[in-house]
Amino acid sequence: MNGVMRKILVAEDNRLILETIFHSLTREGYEIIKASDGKECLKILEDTDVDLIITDLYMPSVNGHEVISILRDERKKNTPILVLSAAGAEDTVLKAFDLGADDFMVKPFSLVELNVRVRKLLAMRR
Amino acid sequence: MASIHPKQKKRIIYLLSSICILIFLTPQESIGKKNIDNQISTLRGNSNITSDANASLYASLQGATTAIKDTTVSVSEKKENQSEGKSELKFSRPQNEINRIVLWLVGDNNVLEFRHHMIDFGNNNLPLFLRKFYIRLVERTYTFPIIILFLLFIIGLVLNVSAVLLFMYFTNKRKNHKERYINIYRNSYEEVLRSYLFGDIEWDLALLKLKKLKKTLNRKILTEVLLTFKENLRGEMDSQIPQIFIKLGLEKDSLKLTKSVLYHRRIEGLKALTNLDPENAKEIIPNYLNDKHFLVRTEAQVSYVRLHPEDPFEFLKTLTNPFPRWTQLSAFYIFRLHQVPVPAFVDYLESEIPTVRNFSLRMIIFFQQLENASAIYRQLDSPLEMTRFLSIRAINDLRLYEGKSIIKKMFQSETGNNKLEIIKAIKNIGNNEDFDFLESIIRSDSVSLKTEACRSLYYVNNEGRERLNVLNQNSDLKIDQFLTHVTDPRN
Amino acid sequence: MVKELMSGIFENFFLIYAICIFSLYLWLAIVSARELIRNHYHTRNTNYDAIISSPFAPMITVIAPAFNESLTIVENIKALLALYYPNFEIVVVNDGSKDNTLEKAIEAFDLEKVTYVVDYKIPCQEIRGIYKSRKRAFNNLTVVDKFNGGKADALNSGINMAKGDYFISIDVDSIIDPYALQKMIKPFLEEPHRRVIATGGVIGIANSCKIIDGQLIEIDVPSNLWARFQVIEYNRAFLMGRLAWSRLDGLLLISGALGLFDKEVAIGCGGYYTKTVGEDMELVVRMRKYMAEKKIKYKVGYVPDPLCWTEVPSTLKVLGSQRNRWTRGTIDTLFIHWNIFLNRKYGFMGMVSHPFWVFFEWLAPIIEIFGIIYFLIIALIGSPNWPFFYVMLFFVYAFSITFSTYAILYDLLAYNRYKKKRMIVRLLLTAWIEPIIFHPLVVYWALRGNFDFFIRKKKTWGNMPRMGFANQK
Repeated sequence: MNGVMRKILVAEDNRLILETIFHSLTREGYEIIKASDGKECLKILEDTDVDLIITDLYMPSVNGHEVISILRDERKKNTPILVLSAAGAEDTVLKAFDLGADDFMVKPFSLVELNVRVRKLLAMRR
Repeated sequence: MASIHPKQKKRIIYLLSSICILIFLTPQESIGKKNIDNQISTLRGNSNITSDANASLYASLQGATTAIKDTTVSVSEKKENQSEGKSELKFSRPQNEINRIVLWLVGDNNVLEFRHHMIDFGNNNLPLFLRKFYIRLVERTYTFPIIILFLLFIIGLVLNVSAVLLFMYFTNKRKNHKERYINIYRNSYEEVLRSYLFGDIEWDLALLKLKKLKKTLNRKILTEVLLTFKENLRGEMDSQIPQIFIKLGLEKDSLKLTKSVLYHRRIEGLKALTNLDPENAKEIIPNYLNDKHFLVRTEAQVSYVRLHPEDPFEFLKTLTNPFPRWTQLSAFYIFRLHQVPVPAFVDYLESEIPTVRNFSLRMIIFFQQLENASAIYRQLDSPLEMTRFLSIRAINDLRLYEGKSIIKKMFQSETGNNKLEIIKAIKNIGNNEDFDFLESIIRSDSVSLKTEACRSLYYVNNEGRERLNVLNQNSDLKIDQFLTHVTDPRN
Repeated sequence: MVKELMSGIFENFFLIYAICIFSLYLWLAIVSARELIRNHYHTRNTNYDAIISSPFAPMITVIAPAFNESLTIVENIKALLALYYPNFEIVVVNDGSKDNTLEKAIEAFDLEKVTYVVDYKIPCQEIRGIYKSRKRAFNNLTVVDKFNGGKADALNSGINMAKGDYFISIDVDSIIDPYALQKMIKPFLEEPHRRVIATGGVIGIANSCKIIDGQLIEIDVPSNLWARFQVIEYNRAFLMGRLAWSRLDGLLLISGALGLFDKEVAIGCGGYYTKTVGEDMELVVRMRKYMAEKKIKYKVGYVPDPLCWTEVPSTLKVLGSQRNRWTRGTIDTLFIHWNIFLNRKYGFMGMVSHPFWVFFEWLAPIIEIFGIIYFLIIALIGSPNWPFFYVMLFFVYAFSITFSTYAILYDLLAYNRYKKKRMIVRLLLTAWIEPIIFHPLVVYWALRGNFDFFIRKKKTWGNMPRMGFANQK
């Protein structure tokens, strides 16, 4: 409802899911930037500032845990991070939270649920 | 006794026999390496060799002795009786050279001599029924001189290498082409389906846009796309995707695949049907639960869990093969993923198959199913270490206090791993009357048992901690390090 | 007649030997092909999602011995922490490094020394300290600081510290595929009837590959000639040799750069043997003997995917000393365990594998050099059968390059590793000059190894490690 469109960066190596999330969130009115691995994600974040990051964990080149760790520890950014991964083992989830993620969704996931969580995280940020 | 697997035995026999046959092919070429002059002198001396026209021919071509030519001419008439069938020899001068080379390549008189000897040997020594085959074999192998054989071999190898190179080239080309084709259609189908699922276009338009569905490969691509959608997304799309699958008639392909002889096709079919056509899948799954291939069984069993929410693990009762840990993992994963209601795993605890019993124990521990503790106690008598281990773990995690005395009694006769498990159990279900038990372990020699016992004594209750301090100060046991070790949660 | 036959065989010994070795390699190649195909379909139909999120995935300890690695240790540990597996721990063993390996690790991961009671299940050099991280994100990292004792000793201390049921031994500077743990633990969980005691994998060559931050980005054929020769060699060994052996259940060697072992069995047979340079092969043989003697059915598995990438020596000097060491290690292992030679009690390993290694791996270079000497003598004394000789030579050459070509083909079909045309052409050209240039060098180094082992009694890696005092508690 605001004038400004919120920017969301999605890092996901599975093309189908990436496109589907893109499609779904664009219809909700967000501006989506796509990245297909961690390296690309970090590179994009060097130049642009986004309002939310959605990332997978097990990706080629730089994986999700590292992305979170670099963003939080090195670049000291506090952009909300939502992890979306098939690896739902307790240790993996806890590690993601320890490193600084704000939310964790396991695949397979519901697009409706994703939308709700995205909205919530963006609302909290304000 | 660690004996050789029967299949391996067969292979070894094949191998040894092929080596023997190849040794048969070994000529006496060391003799061939010797000076040919020596050969001639021996032959000159030994004029009894009548079966060999080549011997004389060698002689004629080596020397300038035309005298032997006469013998050659006369012998050459006899040549027709020989089964050599080699070069017709003309004795003109310029052709001498060529003949020389040809003879080197083609004729090796000692091969013939050897062959003769081998036939004699066979005639004299071998029993009748073997003789025929032996003689035929010897004649066959020594008809063609070895060098020709080797040359043929080399040509064969060269052709082989070229064939391989061509094969590589074309396969690569074909692979790349196929990959590109699949990618193009996969992207196209994904887009169309996405637009349809999000409601951007109607079904009729979507149907038009899904091109080339008459080809099997395209239908396979489309099935895979549908599968990927189903595997990754949940929600309202869940019900739409199977409808699309059936509307397009793709289940026929999958059904056909399940009947294939090749196991990986069966798996492909089963997977597609389970996810996209559950009714059909439910009917045919029971046929594959005891399939002869391990992966097909895994796929079928995992599908069963998914398709039978009322009794997801009933198939364990009719299993005839072991239930390996990989399948247990996969079944559990699907079970949790689709939030299937949890059955009472104690039903499967009395199975005959040990791996099923182990699985049940794991599930009982995970889901904290306290009912029927006596069935768990019974498993403590199992001859398998893993089953006892899991039973002790169950007594620990489920806080079955009545089991404490049983496992304490078992302690002395148990394996190292199980002993550790028993001590860990005391930490959670123990009380003051177990202090002596733990102390005796602390006084023993084993470092890992001591550490674990210290840990248990420390965490069992406050009196335990006091007892530890007392032990530390009074006796000559130096357990300071142990205490610091066990109080650090990272250790 | 028999006497003649016998003398004929003796004189033809070299030819018979050559025929035997070629036919055996051919047989191994055929078995490997079948196994590759079987494995290809097997992995295509495996869903690894179940294990990456399972609470029942068994715990694996990654043991990484480190000696003087201060330049790259932080990167390497970071790469290990990023492995895709839900339940593993990393034990880095600082084997008395003389540089600041330990200090760098402590700083990078916020480590502190903890009080730890070490259970020396396997005797090893004294441990000076155990370090764990204050940060929760690194809570599965342990660094062991100990007095120098060599690689085998460092591995043993890692086993002593291991909490997992399985341990994987790696070289800390090689690159491990993130999916390695999932793929290598699979044989252990699938086998219903026998106990799997070890699994090996395929090693790829990382020279000239693009590596960034400890991750392999792009594969390329090495530009260094010697490394290229080794690519062909490794392909042959891994894809045509070891695959077949594992299928026949006769695999004797699991590379020290990547091997997953059952911890209980390894401890039961005493851990790595520190007084040999071929400790990786020696352990596998000893573990197999242990299981055979206890009459427990067992299996040694093999995952034919390239899961580990390592830099191979690119200079002749280093390569020569490596091959020398390998030869000495092989001879050492074969001799230490000589009692399994043609011993029915040890099954396929004793009846086929061990004799094969004796005759066709250890003795091959020796017989080859004798064959050449024999021919030279014949050539000098009398006039040899030159056409025959040339034909034989060409036959051997043709056979070798056929083999190498097939190895490249197998690799292309199975993994598509070197897929660009230019890469394949380069590999083929290298394969065609290998028998002329590289093979004689290999034979020479093997002979040196034999010489060093038997005559000079050389038993070390090449530098004398500082020996501490082995403290047993």
